[in-house]
Amino acid sequence: MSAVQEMRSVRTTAMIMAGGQGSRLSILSEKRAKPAVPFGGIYRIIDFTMSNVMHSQIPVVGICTQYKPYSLTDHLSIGEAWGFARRGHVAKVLPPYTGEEDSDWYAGTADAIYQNLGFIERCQPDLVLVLSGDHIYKMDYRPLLAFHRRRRAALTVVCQEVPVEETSRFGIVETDGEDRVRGFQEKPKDSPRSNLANLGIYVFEAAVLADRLRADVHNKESSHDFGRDIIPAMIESAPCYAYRFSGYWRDVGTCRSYWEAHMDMLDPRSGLEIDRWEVYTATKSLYDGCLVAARIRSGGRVSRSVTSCGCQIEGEVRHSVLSPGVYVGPGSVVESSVLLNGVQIGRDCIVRGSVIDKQSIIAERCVVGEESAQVKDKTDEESLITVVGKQVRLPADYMVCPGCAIPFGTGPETLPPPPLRPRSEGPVAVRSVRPGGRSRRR
Amino acid sequence: MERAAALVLAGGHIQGYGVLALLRAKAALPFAGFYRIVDFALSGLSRSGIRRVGLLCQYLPASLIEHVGTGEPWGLSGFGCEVRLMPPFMGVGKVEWFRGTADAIYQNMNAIYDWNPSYVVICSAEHVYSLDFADVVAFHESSGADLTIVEKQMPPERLSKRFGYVISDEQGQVVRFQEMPDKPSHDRISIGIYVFTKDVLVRELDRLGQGEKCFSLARDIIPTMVDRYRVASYRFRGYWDYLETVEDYYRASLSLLGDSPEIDLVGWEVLTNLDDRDLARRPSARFSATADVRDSLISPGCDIEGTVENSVLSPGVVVEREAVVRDSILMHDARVERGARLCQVVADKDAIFEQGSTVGFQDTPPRDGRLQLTLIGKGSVVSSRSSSQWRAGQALGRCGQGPLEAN
Repeated sequence: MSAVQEMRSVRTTAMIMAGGQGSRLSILSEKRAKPAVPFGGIYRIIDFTMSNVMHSQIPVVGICTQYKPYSLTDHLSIGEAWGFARRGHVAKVLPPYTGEEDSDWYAGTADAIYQNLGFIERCQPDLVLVLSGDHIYKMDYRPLLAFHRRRRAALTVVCQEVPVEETSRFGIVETDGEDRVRGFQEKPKDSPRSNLANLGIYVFEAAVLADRLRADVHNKESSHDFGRDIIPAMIESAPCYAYRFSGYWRDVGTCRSYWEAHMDMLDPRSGLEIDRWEVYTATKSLYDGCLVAARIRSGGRVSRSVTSCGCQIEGEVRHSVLSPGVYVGPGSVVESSVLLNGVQIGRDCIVRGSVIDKQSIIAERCVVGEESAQVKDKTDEESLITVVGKQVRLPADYMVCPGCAIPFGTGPETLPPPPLRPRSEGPVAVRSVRPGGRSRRR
Repeated sequence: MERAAALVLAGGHIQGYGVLALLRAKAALPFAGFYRIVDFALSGLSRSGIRRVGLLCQYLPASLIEHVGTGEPWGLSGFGCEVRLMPPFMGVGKVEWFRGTADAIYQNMNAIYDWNPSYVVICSAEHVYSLDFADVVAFHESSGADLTIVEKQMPPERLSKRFGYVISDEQGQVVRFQEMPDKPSHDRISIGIYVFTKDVLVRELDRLGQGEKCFSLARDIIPTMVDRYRVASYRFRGYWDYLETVEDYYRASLSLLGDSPEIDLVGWEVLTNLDDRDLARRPSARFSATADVRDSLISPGCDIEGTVENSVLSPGVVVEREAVVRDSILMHDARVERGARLCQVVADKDAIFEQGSTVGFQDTPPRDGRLQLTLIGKGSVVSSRSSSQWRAGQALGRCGQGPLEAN
């Protein structure tokens, strides 16, 4: 029996954790929740998880939001873009609320689910699938759910093997020969006992989850977090299994990994194949003011790149990802960069190894990132990513050195004289963006 | 009561478009990548605050009906808003198709009674233009006219007997209307946009009910109204094109690639249905390391590995390595396989140019600059091997010159 048939009678509710402020993705998630950060031209990060839920034919999904949820709520709406606005389907945005006990902000991931047990129990699911809203991957959850049922697990943790030197960034799962989880180390600093990383995708028996969360909420020692509290406790006392996922998966929690995932998009061997993944997105306001095919004008060159609606290219674009409405002026070179919606690059600029957030305007002859023509590649671990926040205005001839991060809305009036260097002193809180350690690669 | 409602004439069959019009009305013809011609009329009406629109469609309306849908993409659905599709219908003792524009409206007068607007805007879905209809209605109202004809001055070379000519006095009062004269003696043409005071329109069309054979608005009704009513002319100075032939269509499409195109899709706020061929779900266009694209429009979902010059590509067009697309219009999901060479081609949706095929390709263009368009019908497969293997049954053809011969 296929997983699809097997799971037909099993009711599953998916819960997407879309709450946290993406502090590590700092500049980009300053004004929006991390899952709402644009990705891959026309998408937002959460679209990948929403599309996975949709393609797995799970009819009910709750999305726990907390930090600056406006963009996210607006984007998700009632889930129409993913087919949840029809009979028998539900996509509900679940913000924190004030209850009788003055319950307030979500204290941790487990608390976010605890506070929404009412929503989950109304759906009467057999299983609860807990997902994260900021992962880039394509996964059919049905074989996972079938695995969970076959093993009679109380909890199944989705894992992936990672290089040993990266284990300190993950929860590390120890298993026996039967895939049963025997131990769990949260971000081990040294001597990891395995290289199986917890991807933050969990299947719980709904009743067990409810019991565990109700018990945890009274535990004063607990930080109410799945990875730190709930899962280690369950391993001791309930059947927990590890399900191995071998496809492309990336947590785009840092600027570096966000940028690298975009470079993966341009690399046919990376396994990140958005074009084949059938990712759905909400287009309500995506094309506002730029609903026209991308225009490559004379003098414009585009290679190893993607361009979206409303782009106008008069310069050279290499190895880059352009969201809708981006303008690249004549004589400019954009290389190995990610330009979000409505970014304007004036003439004769150089933009290399950079992420530029929405509606920023770079005047003529600016340099953002590496000035020299050496090809910036994701394999170059030492290279620094340059990040320009939303609606930043750079005056003509300005120079931003690799590794700088310019916050939201910065304009000529607050920028120090060029060149802008990482951690240079000045009225602008220019932060250094360091590579976030070695990144995950298959 | 509505102030103004609109009836959009989405037309019958048109000549001059060869295989492109075999499967659809001209109003449903793709334009500029992922628009359809009807988007200009619907976007203009919506932008002008007109909330009730009737769409009269008779010839192969399926594409059009699907594209227009509920009218939601143009903000024409929801409370107080509507796009009503008006195909021909049978009734007790009534078996006629629409016998002309006036007849089409007459047969759908119920909508006018339902909506009960003060004014009725009548316009075409087959033209490319951006008009502030609200301004025309305001002009009509303030001039106290019974009928306002929107007219435009045309350059001498564009004057032909296929237009209606408007002759007005200094006060803007129309004194004569010549529909399709043999020798045009004036340069102001009616661009097929009218505002009627509703009661006047009802009264005039009632003549049809009394058995009079006045089936055409432009031929039978408007010329005779000049003497009996106050008919005003509204001068339109913006861009308007009729796209009479596929050559006009081709030139207008390629004009979008110029430095400041007169057709300003963004400035005109032209909207379209993003569900059309799943436009909303198309990923961003992809360019490989071998892609060489110049002066072109590239829609979402395109995958470019070859050379594209001076061309307009609709969503999902694939241009493989070593393929060359020059001066061409390729509609949705057309595929140009490795090494194929295209020049001055207009290919309908799903056309396939097999490896090594050459269509209309000339190293030296005709000296007189004359167009030599090759039209490829929807779903046609162009093979490089021999002409007998072209599935010509699917309407592959060279415009006006019979079937395409192998090079």
